[in-house]
Amino acid sequence: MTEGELEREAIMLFEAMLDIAEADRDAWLTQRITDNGPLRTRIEAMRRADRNAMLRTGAATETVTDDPIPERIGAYRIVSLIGRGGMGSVYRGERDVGDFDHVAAIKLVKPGLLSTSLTDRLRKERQTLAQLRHPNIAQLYDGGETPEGLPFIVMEYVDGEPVLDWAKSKALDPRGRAALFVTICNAVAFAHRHLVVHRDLTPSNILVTSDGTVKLIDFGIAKPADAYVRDDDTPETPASPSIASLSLTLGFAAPERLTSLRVTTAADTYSLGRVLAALIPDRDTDLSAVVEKATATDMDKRYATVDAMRDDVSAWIDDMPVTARQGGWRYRAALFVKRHRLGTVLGSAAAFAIIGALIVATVAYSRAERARQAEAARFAEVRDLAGFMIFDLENRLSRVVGTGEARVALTKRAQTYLSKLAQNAGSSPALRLEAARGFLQLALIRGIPGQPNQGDRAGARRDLVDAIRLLDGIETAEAKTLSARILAKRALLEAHADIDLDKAGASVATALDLLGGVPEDRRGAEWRSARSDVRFGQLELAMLSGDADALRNLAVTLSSETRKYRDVSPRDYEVRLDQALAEHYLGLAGYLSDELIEGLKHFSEADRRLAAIIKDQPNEPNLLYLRAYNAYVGHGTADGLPGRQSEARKFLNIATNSVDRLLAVEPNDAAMRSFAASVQQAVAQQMSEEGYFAQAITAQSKVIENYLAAYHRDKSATTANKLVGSYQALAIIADRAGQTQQACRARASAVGMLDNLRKSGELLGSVEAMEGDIWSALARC
Amino acid sequence: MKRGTDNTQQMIVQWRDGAASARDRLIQHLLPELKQIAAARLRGEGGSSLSTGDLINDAVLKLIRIDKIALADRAHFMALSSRLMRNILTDHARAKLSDKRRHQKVELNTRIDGEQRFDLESLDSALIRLGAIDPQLMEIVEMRYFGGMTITDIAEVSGLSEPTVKRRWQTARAWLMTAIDGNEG
Repeated sequence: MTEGELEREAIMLFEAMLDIAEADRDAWLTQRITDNGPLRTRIEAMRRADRNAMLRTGAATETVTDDPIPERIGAYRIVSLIGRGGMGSVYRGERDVGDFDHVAAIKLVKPGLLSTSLTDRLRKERQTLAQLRHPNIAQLYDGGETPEGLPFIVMEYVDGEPVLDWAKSKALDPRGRAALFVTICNAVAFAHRHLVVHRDLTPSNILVTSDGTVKLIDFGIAKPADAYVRDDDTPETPASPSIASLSLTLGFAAPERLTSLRVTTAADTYSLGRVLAALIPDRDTDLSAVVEKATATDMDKRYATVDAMRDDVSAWIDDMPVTARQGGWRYRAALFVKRHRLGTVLGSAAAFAIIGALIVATVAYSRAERARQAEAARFAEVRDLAGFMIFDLENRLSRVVGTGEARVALTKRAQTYLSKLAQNAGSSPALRLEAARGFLQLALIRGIPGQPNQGDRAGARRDLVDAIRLLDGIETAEAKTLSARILAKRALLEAHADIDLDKAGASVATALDLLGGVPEDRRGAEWRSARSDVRFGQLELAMLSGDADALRNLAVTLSSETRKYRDVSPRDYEVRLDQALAEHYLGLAGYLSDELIEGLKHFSEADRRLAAIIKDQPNEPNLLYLRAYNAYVGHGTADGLPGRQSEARKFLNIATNSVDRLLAVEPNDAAMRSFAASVQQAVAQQMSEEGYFAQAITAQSKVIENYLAAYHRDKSATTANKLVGSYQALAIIADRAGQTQQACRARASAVGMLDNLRKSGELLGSVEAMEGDIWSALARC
Repeated sequence: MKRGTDNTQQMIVQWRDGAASARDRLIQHLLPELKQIAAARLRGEGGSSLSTGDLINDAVLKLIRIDKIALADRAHFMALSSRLMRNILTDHARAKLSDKRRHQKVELNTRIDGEQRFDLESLDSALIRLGAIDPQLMEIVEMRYFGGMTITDIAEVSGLSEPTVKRRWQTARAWLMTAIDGNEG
């Protein structure tokens, strides 16, 4: 036997053996190969190699053998296999919920298909997807990993037919099919507004149930591999591109899917165009133009949004002109006549007049206007995206536990969109205004003190600079109002983070000037809200400089200013908030001027009002923060009064509870962490009041430890000022406990810190007020 | 990019009808694109893991408007692309090998499981030997391994039943592994 013959023989035998059950193979082979010669050696070598099976399919999407159907996945009992695809298998699962069976479709991703980072990504996206609720989108319920670590996704079970089959079985006419398509577009547009791209829209992903409801399935999960984009938004080659490319449904995937560019909504527009083409094979010129525009190879030439495409299809249904067909007036006039067939029985003069008017209108629709509209359309998407990210999504995420890091990533991303928007804003004041508003919001999220934020002061400062620059040279009332708001926030940053009260004062003064420059008749809700912001800045300034009179006057002003509007809209959130704020600052004024009973009254009133607003707006971080802070100072005030211990304890409980709630929501929030330390300090003091000195000293030392750690990290004046107060607090507790030496050490540390702060001009008035006490106590050491 | 897509379709039909000249024209048409895509992928991937099936898909999608081509034609087209891709990648591996002869063997590792790795050149010479023993097995490996084609598509191209394709692929795979092992000793 030559070598070639041997190999042929081995191959033939091996192949035949594959049909024999594993357990019987040895016996089967022994029957056929009597000796232990080279043939047997070859076969055994091949069997070993086969068991190791390292040479896998190029794309690794198909395994040679199908996996058995699992009994359970997550909380679901697997009833049957719905289908297998490139990514994995889809099962029908049932779960007992109460007295009815809950049915779901469960997609189990094949082993080895997803890298760890992809699995992570899937885990992260699940939450976004689960929030995507639309009657025409199959709901994603849940997801998880099997004990073997395979990711799975639980989706609404849709008992439907693919859209093409359905349209065929119902013998739908083109108009009916177009109407169906409009429904599909609406669902896709909804998802886009929530930043979810389908990525693999095909007729088989669009089902229609027996009652005619359209359901889009596999939203956003069709192609997780494409979700690979670094935070800085540079395109990245997917770590495992196989799923992405292979699960593209041929003919429906946009051409740019082949490059490693990020998948955008434009890819869905392309796929929708292909779906429309498949749905309505015989198209007139107009509808063909729609398909052509949607499926343009150049992304920029496609419809800017799915809404725009839907509008064209709707227009087509109504015999209106479609934008895809850049027809002249003749085209429009022809459609006009078609639309008003009844109108043609009018006298010719009347008909002429109508068409004449139409011509005028069409001519007026100049080239320049078209160009402007094109620009607007292009921006619309970016604007929507940036706006959605920083206003809606951030807002929603801020209420979801543990989304801190996601929010940081989100703001980074939003920043790039905004910058893009700002760069291209050019001379359009409206766009510049919008981008500026975006930057302001971004700054608030990042690091404007006085509300929960990410503690990124430098980032916040840059955002504000960007916002101010964008508004430069725009003299409208709207721009002035917005500038005033930005300056008010900058003042907070200057006052709290830089402890530069002069600079903050100047910012506030400029903001007031700007507001004053807005004519009376242009002062709307936005202006009032900006004025509240400026007042808030002024109030914080007054408080930081320890100026009780200024604080009281400002609080009275704020209260009377908002009272006017309270009668107009008593349930208005901002009005109610301002009223509560006014009470809070009146309380602070009392506290600072040692009119503690008066102060306490206002703190209690503020708490009552805040509690009422929180009832209507539970889990609103700003409100919880404010209530915690108000209760915290309320505690401090009651604590200083004889016979008010129960009130003090009540306030401290409110503060502790609110802070705990906030920290649960946002463990990495800088403002919260720092504030939590202040509350812990109050708790230590309370322990001391109640005579638990040892515990109080331990608790307070812990607070100082945390502050010191924070100070070594950020070297910020704010923390330094707080440290002085903490040392002094420890000294007082130690005094009471009779630990003189410890008290002296604490005061010495406080003095060291005070000196440094004075040298750098960052000493806060309220801290400076402690200095006398500290020195006189030190004299006794 | 106007590439005369209908032309591609025609060429495929002619090629399937047995016109060798059509096949050559198709290759002429495909090769530059495939090389470009392969080069881009190889750069981007740093040679660490490379899914050749993606390259073929990319090429096929980029070259023609698939929706106009029947499933059977697509499979044939992919088979042809698989063959071409094998050549491109092997050439690439060889070029790299001669570049760094003094260093280590090529890093161009194909997507495989486990610790063990082999280079494309050994695979290619093993494939040539396999082709001499059983040409169909070699073709199946090309389609499956280099082209990432599905069992269904390969069945379409080869005219075999799907279970047969599965069995033949499993056999070819086992044989190749022993051949490469023996080679590298």
